[in-house]
Amino acid sequence: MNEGTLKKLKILAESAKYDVSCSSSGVGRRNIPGGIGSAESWGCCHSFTEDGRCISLLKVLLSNYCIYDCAYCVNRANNDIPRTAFSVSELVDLTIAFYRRNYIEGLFLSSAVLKSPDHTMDMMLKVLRELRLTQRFNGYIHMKCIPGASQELVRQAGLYADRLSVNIEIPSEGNLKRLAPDKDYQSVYLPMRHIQQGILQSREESRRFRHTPRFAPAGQSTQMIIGASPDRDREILLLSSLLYKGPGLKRVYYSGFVPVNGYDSRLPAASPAAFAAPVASNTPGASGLPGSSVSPVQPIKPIKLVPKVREHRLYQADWLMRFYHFEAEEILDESSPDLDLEVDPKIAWALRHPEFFPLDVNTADYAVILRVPGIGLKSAQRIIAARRFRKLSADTLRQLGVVLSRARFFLADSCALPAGGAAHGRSFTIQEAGPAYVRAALLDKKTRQSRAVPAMRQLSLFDSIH
Amino acid sequence: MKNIYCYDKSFEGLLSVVFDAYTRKVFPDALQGMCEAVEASAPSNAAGALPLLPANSYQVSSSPEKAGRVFTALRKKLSAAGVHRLLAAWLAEEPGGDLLIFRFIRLVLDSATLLEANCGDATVFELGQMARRVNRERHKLMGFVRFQKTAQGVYFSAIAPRHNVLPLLLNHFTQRLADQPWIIYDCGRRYGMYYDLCGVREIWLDSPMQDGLNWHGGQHAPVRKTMQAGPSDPVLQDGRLNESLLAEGETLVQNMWRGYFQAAVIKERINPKLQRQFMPRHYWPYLTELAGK
Repeated sequence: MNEGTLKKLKILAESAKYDVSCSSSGVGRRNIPGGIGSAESWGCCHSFTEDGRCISLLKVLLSNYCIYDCAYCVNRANNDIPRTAFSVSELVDLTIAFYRRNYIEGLFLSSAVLKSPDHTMDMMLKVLRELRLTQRFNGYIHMKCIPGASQELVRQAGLYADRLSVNIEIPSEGNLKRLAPDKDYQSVYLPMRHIQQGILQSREESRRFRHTPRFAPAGQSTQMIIGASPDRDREILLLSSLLYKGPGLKRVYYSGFVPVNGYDSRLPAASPAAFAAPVASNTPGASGLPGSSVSPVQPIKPIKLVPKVREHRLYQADWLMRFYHFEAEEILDESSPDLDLEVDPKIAWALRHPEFFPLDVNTADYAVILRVPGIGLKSAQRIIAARRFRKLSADTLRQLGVVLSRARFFLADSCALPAGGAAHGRSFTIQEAGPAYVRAALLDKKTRQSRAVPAMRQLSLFDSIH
Repeated sequence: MKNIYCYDKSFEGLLSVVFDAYTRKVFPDALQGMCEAVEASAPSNAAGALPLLPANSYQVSSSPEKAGRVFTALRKKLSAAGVHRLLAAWLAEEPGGDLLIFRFIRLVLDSATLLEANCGDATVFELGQMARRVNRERHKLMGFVRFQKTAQGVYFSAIAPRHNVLPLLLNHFTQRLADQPWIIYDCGRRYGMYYDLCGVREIWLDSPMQDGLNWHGGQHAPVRKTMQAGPSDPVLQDGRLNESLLAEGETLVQNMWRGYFQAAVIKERINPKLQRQFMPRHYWPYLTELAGK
C-alpha cells in the first residue's frame, strides 16, 4: 500500500457510495483458530458520515471502468471521471488493515462492468477467495452480483460471501431498458433465482447432514433507485412485495435518486415534465379528504433531488409489509398510486378505513392491534403480555410505549381514558370526528403551522378588499 | 435516625454490605464511600450527604468470603441474563446506583419467586433501564474503538465512555482480533486492558514514555487506581498516540481511513444533526476520522 492506493481508494469509494445497502447483520459467526474476524448477528455500525449514513462495511468498487452506459449511474462509460482499479492484493491488504484497527465490520464489494459480467465476477471472486482462504478472514462480506453473471460464478460467490445482492435499479422493465440499454430484467432475475436456489439447497442439506457449507447465510437483497424514472410508488411497492414473497429477499433498499448526470435527456432532472404527474397527486388537494384545511395546489417546480420524505415513506411502507402484516394492495390501492407525503402510510391506511376503529386493545387480536397508528411491534407484544394480568388503561398503555397522541383517535374509550375515567382528557375517535379532523390533528407541527389561517389584524386603508 | 453504610465502592464491597445488613438486621438508607473525613468525624454525624441530620454510620470491610456467599445466593435466585443485567447495572457507575442495586438485591433475596420479570416494580424497572444504558454504550463502543498500531506491534486504543463498559468489550475483541496484541485504555477511569495473545489483564500506563509505550499491571502488580498519564498528557494527545510512537506506515493507513470517510459522504444530503444523533460529540476526540473536529 502507498499513496497511490489512497488515491484509488478515494475514487472507488466515491463511485460506490450511491449504493445504499450497508447492513452487516443477519449472520453470527465465531472466529476460527488462526483466523481474524467474527460476525455479529445484529450487525455493528462503526462510524457515521456527515450525511448521517452509517459506515459499517468498507464499500468500494473493484474497478470503475465500465462498458455499460446507464443514464442514472455515475460510472457510466460516457462520463469523464478518473478511472482506476484495485489489484487483488491491494484491496485485500486494505480490508485487513482497516479491520485490524476496528474501522470496519467487513467488505462490501461491488464493481463496474469490465469486459463482460462474468469476467468482472471472476475478478471479484479472486478477492473473496484471497480474503477467506489465504487470510482466513471471518468478518462480514457483502458482494454485488453483476447482472448477467453465470450460475457457476454466483454459486461460488455464495460460498464465500455472507450476503449477495443483484440490483434491480429501475422498478419497471420498460424504463430500465430506456435508461440502461445494456440491461434487462432477465439479466437481473436469473442471478437472483440462482442465489435463491443456492440458499434453499444449502438449507435443505443442513437438515440432512451435520456439516454443510453455508450459502450466503445473510440472504440476498436488492436496490431500486427512486425518482430516476417516472414509476409510481404503487408499482414500486407491488414489485417489492413480489420480491419478498417470490425470491425470498431479506431487504429491498430504496435509493433516492441523486442527479449525478444532470445533462442526460433521458433523466427526469433534465426534463421536469416527467415529474409533473406524481407531484400533483401528492399535494393535499388530490388526497380526497373534503374538509381538511387545504391550501391551493403549489405550482410545480422542477425537482432536482427526490424528496427525502418520499424515500422515507417507502421505507415505512416496506416495514408495514415485512413486520405489520400489511399487503402492498392495502397500502396503496388503484385510486391512490403514490404515498401520502404528509402522513405515514399506516396513518394513511387508518384514515381510509375509519370503519375499522375504534377498537379495544383489551380484546382485539394481535394482528388487529398492529394496525393502530401509534402502536408498534414491541408495544403490541407488550400489550398482549400485559393484558393477561390486568385491564389496560391509558396510563398503562403509555408505560408500555404506546404513542397516545396518535393512538387516542383509534382506541375505544375503555382503554384510551386514564384509569379514573376522567372525561376531560378524552379526545374524539375517528368515528366521531371523521378522517379529515383526525388527519389535520396528526399532521406534524411544521405542516400544521404552514396551513394555519393567518392571525386577524387591523384592516389598513391600503388593503385591497375582494 | 438514618442508617448509613460506608464501603470501599467496589462490587465486592457492595455485596459485603448486603451480607452485613442481613446479619445485623439493619438496612441502610444511604450508602457512602469510605473516606478519612468520615472516619475522623463523630459517628453520629458521619453522613457527608446529610451533614445536619444525625445518623447511624457503619463501616463495612469488604471480604471475598461474604461477597461470594451473597453472589451464590443471587445466582440461585436469578437467571443468567438477570445476573448479567445486575453486573451491567453496577458498571453504569451512576450516582445513587449502588443503593438501587442494593434495593434490588434485597428484593431478589426476599422474594420466593423469580422476580426479574416483574417490570411493574419501580426498582426492577429502574435497574433494567440502567443496565440497558450500559449495554447500549457497549454496543456503540464495539464500533467506535479505534486501534492505532504502535512501533512495538501492539494495537492501542483509547476510549472515554460514560459508563465503565471496558470489561464488557473484552470477550468481543479477544475473539475477533485473536491474532494481534492490543490494549484498550479507558482515559477517564485511567486503566486499560492488555491482550497478549494468551489472555487479558488489567494494566496502567506509565508516563512519560519517550522510548515507547510502557505499562505495568497484571495479576501481581500493585493495584493502583490513580494514574499519571491521561488525555491531557503529551503521550496521549486527545486520546491519540504521539506520532513518534506509531508503527511505520500507520499514518498512511489512518490517512486512508480519513480519505475514505470523506469520500463516502453524499454532498447533496448533508445532515450533521443526524450524524451527531448516532455518534454523539463526546466520542469524537477518540475517533481517528473525526479527532480534532
